Amino acid sequence: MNVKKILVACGTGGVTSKNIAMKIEKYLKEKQIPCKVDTCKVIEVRELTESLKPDLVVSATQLPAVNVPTVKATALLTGVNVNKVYDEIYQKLVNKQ
Amino acid sequence: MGFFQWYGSLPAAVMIMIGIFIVGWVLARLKPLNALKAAIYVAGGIIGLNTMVGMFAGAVIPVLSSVIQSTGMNLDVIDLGVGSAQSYVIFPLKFYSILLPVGLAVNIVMIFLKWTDTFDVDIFNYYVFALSSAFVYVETNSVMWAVVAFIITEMAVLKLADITAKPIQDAYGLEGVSIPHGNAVVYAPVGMIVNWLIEKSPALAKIDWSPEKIEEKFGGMVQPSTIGFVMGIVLGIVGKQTSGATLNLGVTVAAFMIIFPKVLNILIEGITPVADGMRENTEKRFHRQLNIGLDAAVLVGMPDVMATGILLIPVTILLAFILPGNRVLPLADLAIATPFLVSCCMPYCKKNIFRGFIAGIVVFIIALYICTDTAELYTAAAALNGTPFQSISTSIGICSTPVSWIIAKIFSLFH
Repeated sequence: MNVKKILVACGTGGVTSKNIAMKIEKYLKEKQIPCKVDTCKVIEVRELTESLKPDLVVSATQLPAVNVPTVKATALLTGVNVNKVYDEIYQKLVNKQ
Repeated sequence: MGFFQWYGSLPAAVMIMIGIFIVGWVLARLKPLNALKAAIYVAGGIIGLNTMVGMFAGAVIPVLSSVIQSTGMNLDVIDLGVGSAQSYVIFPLKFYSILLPVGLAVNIVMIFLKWTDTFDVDIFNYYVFALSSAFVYVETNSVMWAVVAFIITEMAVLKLADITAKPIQDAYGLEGVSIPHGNAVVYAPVGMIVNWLIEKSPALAKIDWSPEKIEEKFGGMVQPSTIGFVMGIVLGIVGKQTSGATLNLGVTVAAFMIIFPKVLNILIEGITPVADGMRENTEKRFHRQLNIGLDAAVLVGMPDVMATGILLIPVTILLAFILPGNRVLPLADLAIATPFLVSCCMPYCKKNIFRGFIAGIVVFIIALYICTDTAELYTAAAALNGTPFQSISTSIGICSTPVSWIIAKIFSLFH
Protein backbone atom coordinates (compact mmCIF):
# COMPACT_ATOMS: atom_id res chain seq x y z
CA MET A 1 0.00 0.00 0.00
CA ASN A 2 1.30 3.44 -0.82
CA VAL A 3 2.05 5.83 1.99
CA LYS A 4 -1.18 7.65 2.69
CA LYS A 5 -0.94 11.42 3.05
CA ILE A 6 -3.22 12.94 5.62
CA LEU A 7 -3.78 16.58 6.44
CA VAL A 8 -5.19 17.41 9.86
CA ALA A 9 -6.63 20.88 10.36
CA CYS A 10 -7.87 22.88 13.28
CA GLY A 11 -8.50 26.56 13.87
CA THR A 12 -4.95 27.46 14.72
CA GLY A 13 -2.95 24.60 13.29
CA GLY A 14 -1.66 24.04 16.79
CA VAL A 15 -2.45 21.80 19.69
CA THR A 16 -5.80 20.52 18.58
CA SER A 17 -4.72 19.40 15.14
CA LYS A 18 -1.50 17.88 16.46
CA ASN A 19 -3.43 16.02 19.13
CA ILE A 20 -5.70 14.50 16.51
CA ALA A 21 -2.78 13.83 14.18
CA MET A 22 -0.97 11.83 16.86
CA LYS A 23 -4.04 9.73 17.55
CA ILE A 24 -4.50 8.99 13.86
CA GLU A 25 -0.86 8.03 13.44
CA LYS A 26 -1.16 5.59 16.31
CA TYR A 27 -4.37 4.10 14.92
CA LEU A 28 -2.99 3.66 11.42
CA LYS A 29 0.20 2.13 12.77
CA GLU A 30 -1.90 -0.51 14.51
CA LYS A 31 -3.75 -1.12 11.25
CA GLN A 32 -0.41 -1.31 9.48
CA ILE A 33 -1.26 1.43 7.03
CA PRO A 34 1.81 3.55 6.31
CA CYS A 35 0.98 7.23 6.53
CA LYS A 36 2.40 10.71 6.66
CA VAL A 37 0.38 13.13 8.73
CA ASP A 38 0.71 16.91 8.57
CA THR A 39 -1.11 19.58 10.52
CA CYS A 40 -2.30 23.00 9.43
CA LYS A 41 -4.76 25.81 10.06
CA VAL A 42 -8.21 25.52 8.54
CA ILE A 43 -7.55 28.62 6.50
CA GLU A 44 -4.61 26.87 4.83
CA VAL A 45 -6.58 23.77 3.89
CA ARG A 46 -7.55 24.79 0.38
CA GLU A 47 -4.05 25.77 -0.70
CA LEU A 48 -2.39 22.82 1.01
CA THR A 49 -4.89 20.40 -0.47
CA GLU A 50 -3.90 21.59 -3.91
CA SER A 51 -0.17 21.53 -3.28
CA LEU A 52 0.16 18.41 -1.11
CA LYS A 53 -2.69 16.41 -2.65
CA PRO A 54 -3.51 14.49 0.53
CA ASP A 55 -5.53 11.28 0.44
CA LEU A 56 -7.65 12.53 3.30
CA VAL A 57 -8.28 15.75 5.16
CA VAL A 58 -9.27 15.44 8.79
CA SER A 59 -10.59 18.32 10.79
CA ALA A 60 -11.37 19.25 14.37
CA THR A 61 -14.00 21.59 13.02
CA GLN A 62 -15.80 22.48 9.84
CA LEU A 63 -13.89 22.63 6.56
CA PRO A 64 -14.23 24.63 3.38
CA ALA A 65 -15.18 22.52 0.37
CA VAL A 66 -12.31 20.50 -1.06
CA ASN A 67 -12.32 17.73 -3.67
CA VAL A 68 -10.66 15.21 -1.41
CA PRO A 69 -12.39 12.95 1.15
CA THR A 70 -12.82 14.60 4.54
CA VAL A 71 -13.57 13.40 8.04
CA LYS A 72 -14.76 15.50 10.94
CA ALA A 73 -12.85 14.27 13.96
CA THR A 74 -14.05 16.37 16.89
CA ALA A 75 -15.02 13.11 18.61
CA LEU A 76 -11.33 12.21 18.93
CA LEU A 77 -11.04 15.16 21.27
CA THR A 78 -14.14 14.54 23.32
CA GLY A 79 -13.66 10.79 23.56
CA VAL A 80 -17.30 10.14 22.63
CA ASN A 81 -17.94 7.72 19.74
CA VAL A 82 -14.28 7.60 18.88
CA ASN A 83 -14.49 4.33 16.98
CA LYS A 84 -16.97 5.77 14.56
CA VAL A 85 -14.39 8.36 13.50
CA TYR A 86 -11.58 5.82 13.21
CA ASP A 87 -13.81 3.57 11.09
CA GLU A 88 -14.67 6.46 8.81
CA ILE A 89 -11.00 7.32 8.41
CA TYR A 90 -10.18 3.72 7.61
CA GLN A 91 -12.99 3.44 5.09
CA LYS A 92 -12.10 6.61 3.26
CA LEU A 93 -8.41 5.75 3.11
CA VAL A 94 -8.56 2.08 2.21
CA ASN A 95 -11.47 2.17 -0.18
CA LYS A 96 -9.75 4.77 -2.25
CA GLN A 97 -7.00 2.45 -3.31
CA MET B 1 13.59 22.96 51.25
CA GLY B 2 17.01 22.63 49.71
CA PHE B 3 15.47 20.70 46.85
CA PHE B 4 13.03 23.50 46.02
CA GLN B 5 15.78 26.09 46.09
CA TRP B 6 17.92 24.02 43.75
CA TYR B 7 14.92 23.32 41.52
CA GLY B 8 13.92 26.97 41.32
CA SER B 9 17.39 28.02 40.29
CA LEU B 10 17.59 25.67 37.33
CA PRO B 11 17.45 26.98 33.79
CA ALA B 12 13.86 27.13 32.58
CA ALA B 13 14.06 24.26 30.11
CA VAL B 14 15.50 21.90 32.71
CA MET B 15 12.94 22.91 35.30
CA ILE B 16 10.15 22.25 32.84
CA MET B 17 11.63 18.92 31.84
CA ILE B 18 11.76 17.69 35.43
CA GLY B 19 8.29 19.02 36.21
CA ILE B 20 6.67 17.41 33.19
CA PHE B 21 8.52 14.17 33.86
CA ILE B 22 7.12 13.96 37.37
CA VAL B 23 3.59 14.85 36.29
CA GLY B 24 3.78 12.42 33.39
CA TRP B 25 5.09 9.55 35.45
CA VAL B 26 3.01 10.05 38.59
CA LEU B 27 -0.25 11.54 37.34
CA ALA B 28 -0.51 10.42 33.77
CA ARG B 29 0.87 7.00 34.74
CA LEU B 30 3.22 6.94 31.79
CA LYS B 31 6.09 4.50 31.86
CA PRO B 32 9.21 6.33 33.10
CA LEU B 33 10.87 6.14 29.69
CA ASN B 34 7.81 7.59 27.96
CA ALA B 35 7.47 10.26 30.62
CA LEU B 36 11.10 11.18 30.05
CA LYS B 37 10.63 11.35 26.29
CA ALA B 38 7.54 13.54 26.74
CA ALA B 39 9.44 15.78 29.14
CA ILE B 40 12.36 16.18 26.76
CA TYR B 41 10.05 17.05 23.89
CA VAL B 42 8.31 19.72 25.95
CA ALA B 43 11.63 21.16 27.08
CA GLY B 44 12.95 20.96 23.54
CA GLY B 45 9.84 22.71 22.28
CA ILE B 46 10.43 25.51 24.79
CA ILE B 47 14.02 25.89 23.67
CA GLY B 48 12.87 25.93 20.07
CA LEU B 49 10.22 28.55 20.74
CA ASN B 50 12.72 30.71 22.61
CA THR B 51 15.11 30.49 19.70
CA MET B 52 12.42 31.47 17.22
CA VAL B 53 11.14 34.36 19.29
CA GLY B 54 14.68 35.55 19.87
CA MET B 55 15.37 35.57 16.14
CA PHE B 56 12.12 37.36 15.44
CA ALA B 57 12.59 39.96 18.15
CA GLY B 58 16.19 40.47 17.16
CA ALA B 59 15.19 41.31 13.61
CA VAL B 60 12.15 43.41 14.38
CA ILE B 61 12.93 45.33 17.56
CA PRO B 62 15.87 47.43 16.32
CA VAL B 63 13.82 48.62 13.34
CA LEU B 64 10.80 49.25 15.51
CA SER B 65 12.85 51.24 18.01
CA SER B 66 14.19 53.50 15.30
CA VAL B 67 10.68 54.00 13.89
CA ILE B 68 9.42 54.92 17.33
CA GLN B 69 12.26 57.36 17.86
CA SER B 70 12.00 59.03 14.48
CA THR B 71 8.22 59.27 14.17
CA GLY B 72 7.23 59.56 17.80
CA MET B 73 4.84 56.67 17.24
CA ASN B 74 3.93 55.28 20.62
CA LEU B 75 3.45 51.61 19.74
CA ASP B 76 6.37 50.38 21.79
CA VAL B 77 4.74 47.22 23.16
CA ILE B 78 5.43 44.55 20.61
CA ASP B 79 3.15 41.54 20.26
CA LEU B 80 5.51 38.59 20.20
CA GLY B 81 2.82 35.94 20.13
CA VAL B 82 1.45 33.11 22.23
CA GLY B 83 4.59 31.07 21.62
CA SER B 84 6.61 33.68 23.48
CA ALA B 85 4.00 33.77 26.24
CA GLN B 86 4.42 30.04 26.71
CA SER B 87 8.17 29.89 26.51
CA TYR B 88 9.13 33.11 28.31
CA VAL B 89 6.35 33.80 30.79
CA ILE B 90 4.24 30.75 31.59
CA PHE B 91 6.09 27.47 31.29
CA PRO B 92 9.25 28.79 33.00
CA LEU B 93 7.27 29.68 36.12
CA LYS B 94 9.01 27.82 38.93
CA PHE B 95 5.75 26.39 40.12
CA TYR B 96 4.13 25.71 36.75
CA SER B 97 4.24 21.94 37.15
CA ILE B 98 2.18 22.18 40.32
CA LEU B 99 -0.52 24.05 38.44
CA LEU B 100 -1.31 21.09 36.22
CA PRO B 101 -2.41 18.71 38.97
CA VAL B 102 -3.92 21.58 40.96
CA GLY B 103 -5.98 22.60 37.95
CA LEU B 104 -7.21 19.07 37.43
CA ALA B 105 -8.03 18.65 41.11
CA VAL B 106 -9.98 21.91 41.19
CA ASN B 107 -12.00 20.87 38.17
CA ILE B 108 -12.77 17.48 39.73
CA VAL B 109 -13.80 19.03 43.04
CA MET B 110 -15.99 21.56 41.26
CA ILE B 111 -17.66 18.76 39.35
CA PHE B 112 -18.40 16.80 42.50
CA LEU B 113 -19.72 19.94 44.18
CA LYS B 114 -21.87 20.55 41.09
CA TRP B 115 -20.27 23.95 40.64
CA THR B 116 -19.55 23.15 37.03
CA ASP B 117 -20.70 20.72 34.34
CA THR B 118 -17.53 21.07 32.34
CA PHE B 119 -14.64 18.65 32.42
CA ASP B 120 -11.78 20.57 30.90
CA VAL B 121 -9.78 17.89 29.13
CA ASP B 122 -7.60 20.49 27.45
CA ILE B 123 -4.83 20.45 30.01
CA PHE B 124 -2.44 22.11 27.60
CA ASN B 125 -4.58 25.24 27.83
CA TYR B 126 -4.19 25.49 31.58
CA TYR B 127 -1.34 27.73 30.55
CA VAL B 128 -3.89 30.43 29.71
CA PHE B 129 -5.19 30.40 33.31
CA ALA B 130 -1.58 30.60 34.48
CA LEU B 131 -1.23 34.12 33.10
CA SER B 132 -2.97 35.28 36.28
CA SER B 133 -0.37 33.38 38.27
CA ALA B 134 2.46 35.07 36.40
CA PHE B 135 0.98 38.53 37.06
CA VAL B 136 0.24 37.85 40.72
CA TYR B 137 3.65 36.29 41.29
CA VAL B 138 5.30 39.52 40.11
CA GLU B 139 3.03 41.54 42.38
CA THR B 140 3.27 39.41 45.51
CA ASN B 141 6.33 37.19 45.08
CA SER B 142 4.22 34.51 46.70
CA VAL B 143 3.73 31.10 45.11
CA MET B 144 0.65 30.62 47.25
CA TRP B 145 -1.11 33.70 45.91
CA ALA B 146 -0.07 32.83 42.40
CA VAL B 147 -1.73 29.46 42.77
CA VAL B 148 -4.82 31.11 44.27
CA ALA B 149 -4.97 33.42 41.25
CA PHE B 150 -4.79 30.39 38.97
CA ILE B 151 -7.65 28.68 40.78
CA ILE B 152 -9.86 31.77 40.70
CA THR B 153 -9.20 32.18 36.97
CA GLU B 154 -9.98 28.55 36.30
CA MET B 155 -13.21 28.69 38.27
CA ALA B 156 -14.36 31.84 36.50
CA VAL B 157 -13.59 30.46 33.06
CA LEU B 158 -15.25 27.10 33.78
CA LYS B 159 -18.37 28.95 34.85
CA LEU B 160 -18.32 31.03 31.67
CA ALA B 161 -17.89 27.86 29.68
CA ASP B 162 -20.99 26.40 31.32
CA ILE B 163 -23.04 29.52 30.62
CA THR B 164 -22.01 29.70 26.96
CA ALA B 165 -22.16 25.96 26.35
CA LYS B 166 -25.69 25.60 25.04
CA PRO B 167 -25.60 28.51 22.55
CA ILE B 168 -22.28 27.24 21.18
CA GLN B 169 -23.49 23.65 20.98
CA ASP B 170 -26.67 24.70 19.19
CA ALA B 171 -24.92 27.05 16.79
CA TYR B 172 -22.26 24.59 15.65
CA GLY B 173 -23.67 21.14 16.30
CA LEU B 174 -20.93 20.38 18.81
CA GLU B 175 -22.75 18.08 21.17
CA GLY B 176 -21.52 17.84 24.70
CA VAL B 177 -18.77 20.41 24.19
CA SER B 178 -17.99 23.61 26.04
CA ILE B 179 -15.15 26.07 25.58
CA PRO B 180 -13.28 26.85 28.82
CA HIS B 181 -10.76 28.91 26.96
CA GLY B 182 -9.45 31.89 28.89
CA ASN B 183 -9.56 34.40 26.05
CA ALA B 184 -12.33 33.30 23.76
CA VAL B 185 -15.14 32.59 26.17
CA VAL B 186 -14.62 35.72 28.26
CA TYR B 187 -15.62 37.91 25.32
CA ALA B 188 -18.94 36.19 24.75
CA PRO B 189 -20.81 38.93 26.65
CA VAL B 190 -19.62 41.47 24.07
CA GLY B 191 -21.34 39.38 21.43
CA MET B 192 -24.52 39.30 23.51
CA ILE B 193 -24.60 43.04 24.03
CA VAL B 194 -23.73 44.00 20.45
CA ASN B 195 -26.35 41.66 19.10
CA TRP B 196 -28.96 43.07 21.45
CA LEU B 197 -28.11 46.63 20.38
CA ILE B 198 -28.14 45.83 16.68
CA GLU B 199 -31.53 44.18 16.92
CA LYS B 200 -32.94 47.48 18.15
CA SER B 201 -32.31 49.00 14.74
CA PRO B 202 -34.30 47.34 11.95
CA ALA B 203 -31.93 48.71 9.33
CA LEU B 204 -28.82 47.27 10.97
CA ALA B 205 -30.51 44.06 11.99
CA LYS B 206 -31.12 43.22 8.34
CA ILE B 207 -27.46 43.26 7.29
CA ASP B 208 -25.90 39.85 6.81
CA TRP B 209 -22.63 39.09 5.03
CA SER B 210 -21.82 35.76 3.44
CA PRO B 211 -18.94 33.76 4.92
CA GLU B 212 -18.27 31.90 1.70
CA LYS B 213 -17.75 35.06 -0.35
CA ILE B 214 -15.38 36.50 2.21
CA GLU B 215 -13.37 33.32 2.40
CA GLU B 216 -13.16 33.09 -1.37
CA LYS B 217 -12.07 36.67 -1.88
CA PHE B 218 -9.71 37.07 1.01
CA GLY B 219 -8.90 33.59 2.24
CA GLY B 220 -6.01 33.16 -0.15
CA MET B 221 -4.38 36.39 0.99
CA VAL B 222 -4.73 35.79 4.67
CA GLN B 223 -2.17 33.06 5.08
CA PRO B 224 0.44 33.33 7.83
CA SER B 225 3.16 33.55 5.20
CA THR B 226 1.62 36.44 3.29
CA ILE B 227 0.55 38.38 6.38
CA GLY B 228 4.01 38.00 7.84
CA PHE B 229 5.71 39.04 4.62
CA VAL B 230 3.56 42.14 4.24
CA MET B 231 4.06 43.16 7.88
CA GLY B 232 7.80 42.76 7.51
CA ILE B 233 7.90 44.84 4.33
CA VAL B 234 5.78 47.57 5.87
CA LEU B 235 8.08 47.64 8.87
CA GLY B 236 11.09 47.92 6.59
CA ILE B 237 9.58 50.76 4.60
CA VAL B 238 8.41 52.71 7.62
CA GLY B 239 11.76 52.07 9.25
CA LYS B 240 13.53 53.51 6.20
CA GLN B 241 15.57 50.36 5.70
CA THR B 242 17.44 49.58 2.49
CA SER B 243 15.59 47.50 -0.08
CA GLY B 244 17.64 44.45 0.81
CA ALA B 245 17.00 44.88 4.51
CA THR B 246 13.30 45.44 3.88
CA LEU B 247 12.97 42.27 1.86
CA ASN B 248 14.90 40.46 4.55
CA LEU B 249 12.46 41.70 7.15
CA GLY B 250 9.60 40.46 5.01
CA VAL B 251 11.15 37.02 4.77
CA THR B 252 12.14 36.91 8.44
CA VAL B 253 8.70 37.79 9.75
CA ALA B 254 7.09 35.39 7.29
CA ALA B 255 9.56 32.69 8.30
CA PHE B 256 8.66 33.20 11.93
CA MET B 257 4.94 32.82 11.18
CA ILE B 258 5.57 29.64 9.21
CA ILE B 259 8.19 27.96 11.38
CA PHE B 260 6.79 28.75 14.79
CA PRO B 261 3.80 26.35 14.51
CA LYS B 262 6.16 23.56 13.50
CA VAL B 263 8.26 24.14 16.60
CA LEU B 264 5.15 24.38 18.74
CA ASN B 265 4.26 20.93 17.40
CA ILE B 266 7.29 19.53 19.18
CA LEU B 267 6.07 20.88 22.48
CA ILE B 268 2.60 19.53 21.79
CA GLU B 269 3.95 16.11 20.90
CA GLY B 270 5.49 16.02 24.32
CA ILE B 271 2.60 17.26 26.35
CA THR B 272 -0.19 15.31 24.61
CA PRO B 273 0.51 11.92 26.20
CA VAL B 274 0.76 13.62 29.58
CA ALA B 275 -2.50 15.50 29.14
CA ASP B 276 -4.27 12.47 27.69
CA GLY B 277 -2.98 10.25 30.49
CA MET B 278 -4.13 12.69 33.14
CA ARG B 279 -7.52 12.90 31.51
CA GLU B 280 -7.98 9.15 31.09
CA ASN B 281 -7.11 8.48 34.69
CA THR B 282 -9.83 10.84 35.85
CA GLU B 283 -12.59 10.20 33.36
CA LYS B 284 -13.35 6.84 34.90
CA ARG B 285 -14.50 8.40 38.18
CA PHE B 286 -17.38 10.47 36.85
CA HIS B 287 -20.87 9.09 36.62
CA ARG B 288 -22.55 12.09 35.12
CA GLN B 289 -23.08 13.59 31.71
CA LEU B 290 -20.50 16.33 31.50
CA ASN B 291 -19.57 18.92 28.92
CA ILE B 292 -16.14 18.21 27.53
CA GLY B 293 -14.09 21.40 27.66
CA LEU B 294 -12.15 21.98 24.46
CA ASP B 295 -9.81 24.53 22.94
CA ALA B 296 -11.55 27.36 21.09
CA ALA B 297 -9.64 26.16 18.02
CA VAL B 298 -12.57 23.86 17.29
CA LEU B 299 -14.65 26.97 16.64
CA VAL B 300 -12.11 28.85 14.60
CA GLY B 301 -12.70 26.64 11.57
CA MET B 302 -16.37 27.49 11.41
CA PRO B 303 -16.97 29.64 8.32
CA ASP B 304 -18.59 32.50 10.19
CA VAL B 305 -15.84 32.68 12.80
CA MET B 306 -13.10 32.49 10.23
CA ALA B 307 -14.63 35.07 7.92
CA THR B 308 -15.11 37.50 10.81
CA GLY B 309 -11.53 36.89 11.87
CA ILE B 310 -10.26 37.63 8.36
CA LEU B 311 -12.13 40.96 8.28
CA LEU B 312 -10.79 41.93 11.68
CA ILE B 313 -7.12 41.64 10.76
CA PRO B 314 -6.76 44.99 8.97
CA VAL B 315 -9.18 46.55 11.46
CA THR B 316 -7.03 45.53 14.41
CA ILE B 317 -3.96 47.09 12.84
CA LEU B 318 -5.90 50.29 12.19
CA LEU B 319 -7.26 50.33 15.73
CA ALA B 320 -3.75 49.98 17.08
CA PHE B 321 -2.74 53.20 15.36
CA ILE B 322 -5.82 55.29 16.00
CA LEU B 323 -6.78 54.36 19.55
CA PRO B 324 -5.49 57.06 21.90
CA GLY B 325 -3.28 55.62 24.59
CA ASN B 326 -2.81 52.25 22.91
CA ARG B 327 0.80 51.09 22.93
CA VAL B 328 0.47 47.66 21.42
CA LEU B 329 1.72 46.84 17.95
CA PRO B 330 -0.18 43.72 16.82
CA LEU B 331 2.23 41.44 15.04
CA ALA B 332 2.84 37.77 15.82
CA ASP B 333 -0.68 37.02 17.06
CA LEU B 334 -2.56 38.85 14.32
CA ALA B 335 -3.79 35.84 12.43
CA ILE B 336 -4.35 33.80 15.58
CA ALA B 337 -6.07 36.20 17.93
CA THR B 338 -8.50 37.68 15.43
CA PRO B 339 -10.75 34.66 14.97
CA PHE B 340 -10.10 33.39 18.50
CA LEU B 341 -11.26 36.33 20.53
CA VAL B 342 -14.43 36.73 18.53
CA SER B 343 -15.27 33.02 18.25
CA CYS B 344 -17.58 32.89 21.27
CA CYS B 345 -19.40 36.05 20.23
CA MET B 346 -20.64 34.47 17.03
CA PRO B 347 -23.35 32.21 18.49
CA TYR B 348 -24.82 35.25 20.26
CA CYS B 349 -24.60 37.23 17.04
CA LYS B 350 -26.60 34.50 15.34
CA LYS B 351 -23.53 33.68 13.21
CA ASN B 352 -24.17 36.96 11.39
CA ILE B 353 -20.79 38.18 10.22
CA PHE B 354 -21.74 41.84 10.15
CA ARG B 355 -22.78 41.65 13.80
CA GLY B 356 -19.73 39.58 14.66
CA PHE B 357 -17.56 42.14 12.93
CA ILE B 358 -19.00 44.98 15.03
CA ALA B 359 -18.61 42.87 18.16
CA GLY B 360 -15.06 42.14 17.06
CA ILE B 361 -14.23 45.83 16.83
CA VAL B 362 -15.38 46.29 20.41
CA VAL B 363 -13.49 43.18 21.49
CA PHE B 364 -10.23 44.39 20.02
CA ILE B 365 -10.58 47.88 21.42
CA ILE B 366 -10.84 46.27 24.84
CA ALA B 367 -8.09 43.77 24.04
CA LEU B 368 -5.61 46.43 22.91
CA TYR B 369 -6.17 48.50 26.03
CA ILE B 370 -5.88 45.51 28.35
CA CYS B 371 -2.68 44.40 26.63
CA THR B 372 -1.32 47.94 26.95
CA ASP B 373 -2.21 48.05 30.63
CA THR B 374 -0.66 44.67 31.43
CA ALA B 375 2.46 45.07 29.31
CA GLU B 376 4.79 46.10 32.13
CA LEU B 377 3.55 43.33 34.38
CA TYR B 378 3.87 40.77 31.58
CA THR B 379 7.40 41.86 30.74
CA ALA B 380 8.34 41.83 34.42
CA ALA B 381 7.02 38.28 34.72
CA ALA B 382 9.38 37.11 32.00
CA ALA B 383 12.30 38.87 33.68
CA LEU B 384 11.41 37.30 37.03
CA ASN B 385 11.59 33.87 35.43
CA GLY B 386 15.11 34.51 34.28
CA THR B 387 13.90 34.55 30.66
CA PRO B 388 13.61 38.28 29.98
CA PHE B 389 12.26 39.86 26.83
CA GLN B 390 14.50 42.21 24.86
CA SER B 391 12.00 45.01 25.29
CA ILE B 392 8.50 45.55 26.57
CA SER B 393 6.19 42.96 25.06
CA THR B 394 2.77 41.37 25.05
CA SER B 395 0.81 38.69 23.27
CA ILE B 396 -2.65 39.69 22.07
CA GLY B 397 -3.70 36.07 21.98
CA ILE B 398 -3.32 35.62 25.71
CA CYS B 399 -2.81 38.94 27.53
CA SER B 400 -6.15 40.19 26.28
CA THR B 401 -8.08 38.17 28.82
CA PRO B 402 -10.06 40.47 31.12
CA VAL B 403 -10.07 37.82 33.86
CA SER B 404 -6.32 37.94 34.43
CA TRP B 405 -6.40 41.72 34.16
CA ILE B 406 -9.06 42.04 36.85
CA ILE B 407 -7.23 39.64 39.15
CA ALA B 408 -3.97 41.53 38.65
CA LYS B 409 -5.73 44.80 39.46
CA ILE B 410 -7.24 43.38 42.64
CA PHE B 411 -3.91 42.05 43.86
CA SER B 412 -2.17 45.31 43.04
CA LEU B 413 -4.45 47.03 45.54
CA PHE B 414 -2.93 45.02 48.35
CA HIS B 415 0.68 45.08 47.34
